[in-house]
Amino acid sequence: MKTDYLSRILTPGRRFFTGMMLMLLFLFFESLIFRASMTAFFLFLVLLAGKKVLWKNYILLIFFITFFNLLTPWGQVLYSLGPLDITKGALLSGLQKGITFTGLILISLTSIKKGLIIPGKLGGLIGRVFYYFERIFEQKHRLKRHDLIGTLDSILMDTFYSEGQNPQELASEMKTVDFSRPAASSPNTNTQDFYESEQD
Amino acid sequence: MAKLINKIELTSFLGGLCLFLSAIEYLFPRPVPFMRLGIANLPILFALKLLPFPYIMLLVLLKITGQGLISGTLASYVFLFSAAGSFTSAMVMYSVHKIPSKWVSLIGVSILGALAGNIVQLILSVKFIFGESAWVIAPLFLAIGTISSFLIGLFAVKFIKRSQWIFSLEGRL
Repeated sequence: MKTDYLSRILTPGRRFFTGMMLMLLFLFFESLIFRASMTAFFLFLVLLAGKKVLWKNYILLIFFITFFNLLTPWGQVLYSLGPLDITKGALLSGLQKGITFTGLILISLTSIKKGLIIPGKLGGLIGRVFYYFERIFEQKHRLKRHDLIGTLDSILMDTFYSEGQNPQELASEMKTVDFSRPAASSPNTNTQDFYESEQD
Repeated sequence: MAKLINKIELTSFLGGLCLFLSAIEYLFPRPVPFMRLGIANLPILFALKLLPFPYIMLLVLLKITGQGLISGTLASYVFLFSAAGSFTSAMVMYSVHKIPSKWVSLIGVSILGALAGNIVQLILSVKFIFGESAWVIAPLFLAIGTISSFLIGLFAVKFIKRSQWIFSLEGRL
């Protein structure tokens, strides 16, 4: 796991707040150059946060958004590729949308970190959801392809009835969303790592 | 008399199951980045049988918020797309589920819910991201959604028939 340099200077709450401020700034100015520069900055922040950058996905995302915008030509024709006219208006609009979309994903990735406290009842409930997620995730080795229904049912029975009926004992510790916490019975199981490694 | 099950607790549990299935889904290869099978919607199909409408909406909120927190997309367009698609899908599934099952099975409920969710996401992507040309990919997008929701619906029907867990909850909510 790469080092998260941002967490050394920002608490999860301040990090989220800073991210939201940067996002507002990002959306406030419509200039393509400004947004592209900010997106590059957000990319740098993601790397500082020690998160994996899914280069292929982001490049494909910007490519497809631009491509689909080019299919509706408007503005000056820059050049023609067979039947497709590359028009200035469509090209700039596509790039603008693609870069904006990617920038928002990147700033979101930077802003949201384990330990982020969601206040109120919703925060408590999210904590419960992650608690159950961890408990079910611990049992994933029991899932068998040849009997998916039977094994899943057995996991749900065991997890729900061993944990589900004494929620008060656990509710207080679940106010904080800590989805990177390793599962109790399998120290190598880190669900966020799992997501990040599988997202490639 | 069997002990009653707390609906909020069951909703949280199903939310945890949604996140677990999302994690499992990452194991499947995806033809196109960002295109998902939607197996995390399976608990919502279970919820139609187990929980009243407000709890189903709460489950959807917990699912999308949890997914947004894990993937880090909570503060992006992706979250809004996911929210719009998921809430629409759940509302359609809930409405269709009220039709007697001899006319519309859970498979039909799953397909109609997926179609509704996908159409809303398509409209949003045409409006805000891709432009009118995105309609070109609509048939492929909807076809994949229909096939995967058929399979998820089929799995849900078989699971509900066999599941001791679902059986143990009936009459206790």
